[in-house]
Amino acid sequence: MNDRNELFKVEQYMSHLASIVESSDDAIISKSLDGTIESWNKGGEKMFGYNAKDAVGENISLIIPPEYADEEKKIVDRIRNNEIIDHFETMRMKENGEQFFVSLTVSPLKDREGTIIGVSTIARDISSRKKYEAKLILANNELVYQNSEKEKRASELIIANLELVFQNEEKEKRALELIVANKELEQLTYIASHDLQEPIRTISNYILLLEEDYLEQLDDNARTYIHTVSKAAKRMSALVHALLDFSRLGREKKLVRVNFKNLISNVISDLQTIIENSKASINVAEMPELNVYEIEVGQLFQNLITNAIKFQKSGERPQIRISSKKVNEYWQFSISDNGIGIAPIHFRKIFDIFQRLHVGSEYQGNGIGLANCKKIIELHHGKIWIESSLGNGTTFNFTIPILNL
Amino acid sequence: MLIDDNPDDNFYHERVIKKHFGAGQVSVVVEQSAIDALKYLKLEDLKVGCHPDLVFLDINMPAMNGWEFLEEYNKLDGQFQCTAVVIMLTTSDNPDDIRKAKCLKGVSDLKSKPLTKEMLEDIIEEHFIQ
Repeated sequence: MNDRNELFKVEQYMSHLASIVESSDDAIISKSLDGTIESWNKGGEKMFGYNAKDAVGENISLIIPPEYADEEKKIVDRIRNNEIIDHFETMRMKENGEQFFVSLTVSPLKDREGTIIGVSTIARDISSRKKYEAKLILANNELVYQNSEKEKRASELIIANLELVFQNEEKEKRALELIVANKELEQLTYIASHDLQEPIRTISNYILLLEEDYLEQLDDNARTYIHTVSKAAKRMSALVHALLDFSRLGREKKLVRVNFKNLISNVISDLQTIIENSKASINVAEMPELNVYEIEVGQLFQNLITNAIKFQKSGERPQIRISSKKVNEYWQFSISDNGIGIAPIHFRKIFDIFQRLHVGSEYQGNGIGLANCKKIIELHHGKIWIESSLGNGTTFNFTIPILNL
Repeated sequence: MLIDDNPDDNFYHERVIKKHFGAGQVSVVVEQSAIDALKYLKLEDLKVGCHPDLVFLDINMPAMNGWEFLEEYNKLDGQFQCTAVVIMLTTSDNPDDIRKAKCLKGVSDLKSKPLTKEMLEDIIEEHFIQ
């Protein structure tokens, strides 16, 4: 009774074990020491594609890729020495020839006396883990690569930065050189225009002597020649004077609080004669008080108003409007006329010194007025520009920032 | 008296003066350097009445310029030697020179070259007709 009971318990236990083996996802295979497959579970069927009845009785080389045959021999040798092999990673082969990664746990099977009579193998498909590992390795390599690229970039940036610092220093040096060169140039203009006056004056004086003492003795041709020389000397003297005034601009600059309304009405009363002769009307809108170089700004308005009157279609009355508005940190002033206008291609050129758009007789001038205006505005760190088209009047705009005394 | 290193200007100015007064009515002393002009003014045996009444003084001259001449001129014996009306003549209407001349002792006026008939009439009107 006891024996049968015992036997029953053993049988029950065996059947539990068998069902565990059968239901495992791992392939659980046993084989004899010479490699003949003796048992093959459902996991083995799923993993390798062979049914148990096809596999049992076959040699284990059925699922071992030929290049791993030596490795299998070594594993079996270790089992004979009573070793257990845990988590041994290698390749196995499916029925369709596809190879895949497995992790093997291999242990000896013994009879009652303890003699090793076979081998049990639990194989787990680790191909997806391997895939992740490979991906991780790739990702890691990519990271290492990106890191080294970043380091390279960083060192490139450091070099570029040093280069920038160098270039900045060079630029500052250049700016300084430019300031010095500019000062020298201004000095040169001043001295040249100053010293040129003397010989021109001598020429004019002695032509005068010729005219006073010898005009009666000369024929008409000679008089014409002398007259021409005299006119040229006068013109040259005017140009040199204008150049000297230009080079003097800003030499004695001093900021003062100026009421622009008063300043403009002073300029208008200075220009009374030409305003009356041309019957010009001048409309002055609201004006601010600003800190400026007073004499220079007066000159600026005088130049722009004179231009607005001078460059007029013949027979028309000049109509001039002067307005102001605050734009951010600047005051913007506009002087508009209904005159002959300027073609846009000349907009830049007209502010250059000695640039004139008209032949001498048509509209008088020495080509320095607008160069003066530009220089005056630049002294105030402002901008001057023009809006116009041929025949449709001209607007000169300029800005003056709010300057501290 | 004309003090100017430029002989062309001296010639021209002398002529303007002589033309204004008439050739025999005026004597014009011409010096081409301020140092020579000082020497002339310091002459011991310069006859009374031969001191110039009117001096035209250039500013830019080598060795001693117009300003330096004025310093020496102001040290001269007040009774005889530095009683003249001194008019400075400049090449340009340089605002620096105008300001300097205004606050300097001994300078009566500052004019731009060239000296003209009208300028001379103005000067005589202002400084000699009382």
